[in-house]
Amino acid sequence: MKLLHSKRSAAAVAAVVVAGLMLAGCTPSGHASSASGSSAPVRGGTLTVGSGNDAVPGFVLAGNQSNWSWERSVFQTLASLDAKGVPRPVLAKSWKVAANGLSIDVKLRDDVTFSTGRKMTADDVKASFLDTLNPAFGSQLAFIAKQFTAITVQSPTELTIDFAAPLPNIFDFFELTSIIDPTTVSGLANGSKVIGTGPYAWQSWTPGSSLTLVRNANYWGPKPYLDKITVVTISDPTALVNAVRSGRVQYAIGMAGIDVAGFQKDPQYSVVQTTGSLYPLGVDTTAAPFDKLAVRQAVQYAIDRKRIVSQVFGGLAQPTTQFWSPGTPGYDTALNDAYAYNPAKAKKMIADAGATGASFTINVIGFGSNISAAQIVQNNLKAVGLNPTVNVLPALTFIGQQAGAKLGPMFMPLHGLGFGPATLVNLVPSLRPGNPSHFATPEYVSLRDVLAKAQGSAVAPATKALGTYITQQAFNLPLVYAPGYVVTIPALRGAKTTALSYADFSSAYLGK
Amino acid sequence: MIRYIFRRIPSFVIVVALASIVAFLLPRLAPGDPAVQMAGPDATTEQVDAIRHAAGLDLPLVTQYLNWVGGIFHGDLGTSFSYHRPVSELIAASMESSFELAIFAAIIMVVLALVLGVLGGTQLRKTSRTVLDVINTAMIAMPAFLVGLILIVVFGIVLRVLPISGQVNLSENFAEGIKYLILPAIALALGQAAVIARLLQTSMLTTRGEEFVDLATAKGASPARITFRHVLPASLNTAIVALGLRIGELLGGAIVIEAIFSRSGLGQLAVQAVNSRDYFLVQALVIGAVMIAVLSQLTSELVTAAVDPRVRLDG
Repeated sequence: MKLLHSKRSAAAVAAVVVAGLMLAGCTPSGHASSASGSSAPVRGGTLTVGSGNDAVPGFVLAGNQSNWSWERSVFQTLASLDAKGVPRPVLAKSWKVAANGLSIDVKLRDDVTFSTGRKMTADDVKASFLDTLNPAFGSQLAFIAKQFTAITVQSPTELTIDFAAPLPNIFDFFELTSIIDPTTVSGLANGSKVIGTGPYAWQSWTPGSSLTLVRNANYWGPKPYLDKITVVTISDPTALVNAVRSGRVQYAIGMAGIDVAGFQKDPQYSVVQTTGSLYPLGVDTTAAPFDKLAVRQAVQYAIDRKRIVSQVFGGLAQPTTQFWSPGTPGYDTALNDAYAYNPAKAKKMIADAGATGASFTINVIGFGSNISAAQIVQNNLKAVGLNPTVNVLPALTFIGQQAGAKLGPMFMPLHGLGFGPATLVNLVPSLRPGNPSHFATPEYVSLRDVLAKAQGSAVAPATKALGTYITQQAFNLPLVYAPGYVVTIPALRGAKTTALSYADFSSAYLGK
Repeated sequence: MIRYIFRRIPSFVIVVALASIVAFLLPRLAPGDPAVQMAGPDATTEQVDAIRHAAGLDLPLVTQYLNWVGGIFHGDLGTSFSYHRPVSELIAASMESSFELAIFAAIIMVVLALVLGVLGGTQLRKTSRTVLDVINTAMIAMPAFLVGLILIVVFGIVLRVLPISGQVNLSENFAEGIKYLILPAIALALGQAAVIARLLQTSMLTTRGEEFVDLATAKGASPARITFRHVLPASLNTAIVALGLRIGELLGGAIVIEAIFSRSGLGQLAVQAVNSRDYFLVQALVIGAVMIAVLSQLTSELVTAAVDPRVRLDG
């Protein structure tokens, strides 16, 4: 799950940053595909991908926006979630969950090889899963692996995983966790040995500059069309736009929404929607004035979400109050209007609660859209009698304080949409245990636990119940949902995007 | 001159030593934690702590500093937190791009500065001087990034005659590499050249009032001979010092121009290092920039002495 998203200002810096991590969830737009026209596939050629973030090969077991451009070309997973969130086999051939939900038997394909030519076995899968527990790999789903009580290799193509409790989100884990070659794992972090089972092989990497992938001669699946994929790192947003317009780049990832708008009406380019980001507003429920429910709700009534959509995202976003993607089972559209903009009502509620004139700081993660949204939030809250001050924090500072649940009385983070709700509630910093709102009422914990264990038809009602409760308690609610976008040229055909926003070039080719 | 160079060594060492302390402290004073960067945005406090310990970031500052300096004396600049590669390797990979851009921009800068400066320092008709002043002022007024963006739009997007994104090192393909250098080098050089030209122009106009110029004129020397043989050499001091400083800046990395032309030079490496709190990389780049600045200054002093016989370094 992406929990950080590099936007215009971030890139200006830094760079920035770095970037951020982002895993995405299953949205109706997941598995977006570039043009698939009728022309016959063409073999050969080099695809140049522009990415705002440099590769981080040491994080292939994590969800990381920096690796969206290349990871699924080099590494594969046991399963992949389709557009409806249904797991489809990739390196696995089949699986069977025990009737009591406490284990899963996985059968692997017997024809998979790493790019070195070595056959992939169940031991490799086990090693990859265990590596997710190593903090150095940064897997956000380590909390799922911690529920594994045993991973038993039954044969080179079979393994059984035992759970401490039923794990309905095991397929989120399968979707995210790349299968790596344990014999070369030490070369991952510095990019000296990056060995996977995907259609392309990692050839060379110049940190901060470019990455070259070539067709994997030992690929077990259909031979990919492209000879080579070059991923160039272009951290400056304007430079990324120029790289596309000048023809240097045929596929751009990480472009800011405002830049994407310029390509949308241009027939020379295709814009593909991918899973996006959430822009929440949270408060510390243990300190005045936000220890009062009425004040928390008043804050939500005071925010003009539509103005944020219009002025910050140029209309390329939608108001929301939910942490799940539209289309997720249990996603309640009606909740998005629970706090329709009503400053008069907000002002009265704040006055009734005796909070008028309350001064506090809004800590904001230092990305462009967040900073702009924070200005509107500040303006809205002043209009209803509060006295906030916006404090923009560098991304790393914000993340550090978020990890320690020390974000102050009010804060505006940035979250990616992730997996299913059962995974999100234990993953998203705003919701997980130890969240910066310090919100952990027995009812919340209970609803979260129910959702975390829900399976099948029980998922939707559990999601709806938790979503309703979170909305009602208003300790941390998304203000808007902004989809992500990829800009391509029409000649690039067959390129897809996974549910987690990773580019899939296994069937891509450069047509005429 | 040799004695002069040796006399400068102690101050050079002191500057570098002080710079090392500043370079070490500066990134640590900035908010943000490299352990957080390494752990990823969703990491828990425990994960961050484990990584901080593994990287030695929980050691006392003095110990960290001494370890770093000790490593430098053994040729080890440290390992990048972000890339897990030796800092020296990362800098070497970016150096060629920056040096090529700096040298190419410097050549354009010197040529333009000399042409504009000498023209401006020559007796001109009022109209010609006005035109020259307008050109010079426009070049000074336009920041490099604006020049760069204009060049990108005109030559890269509208006309599509020159590449505007990326780089090809001259060592790989000289002709192709030059194409990638033209626009960013011009963008870098224009404003700098105008500043140096203005210095040269002012200096030449002042020199023209000196008695030795009157003597040369009285002896019947041609205007060209007076300009290039007498006035120009005596007017170069200020321009050379300014030139040395500008070239030093260019060698340190042209951050903005590298960014908008997507060149992977030292400037971009520095930006990435600062943003990811990659301490060792930041420290090495700062020290490198200081050393380049000191050497540039020293070089410009030596060149000044060589060009102007009035300057005596050993005196």
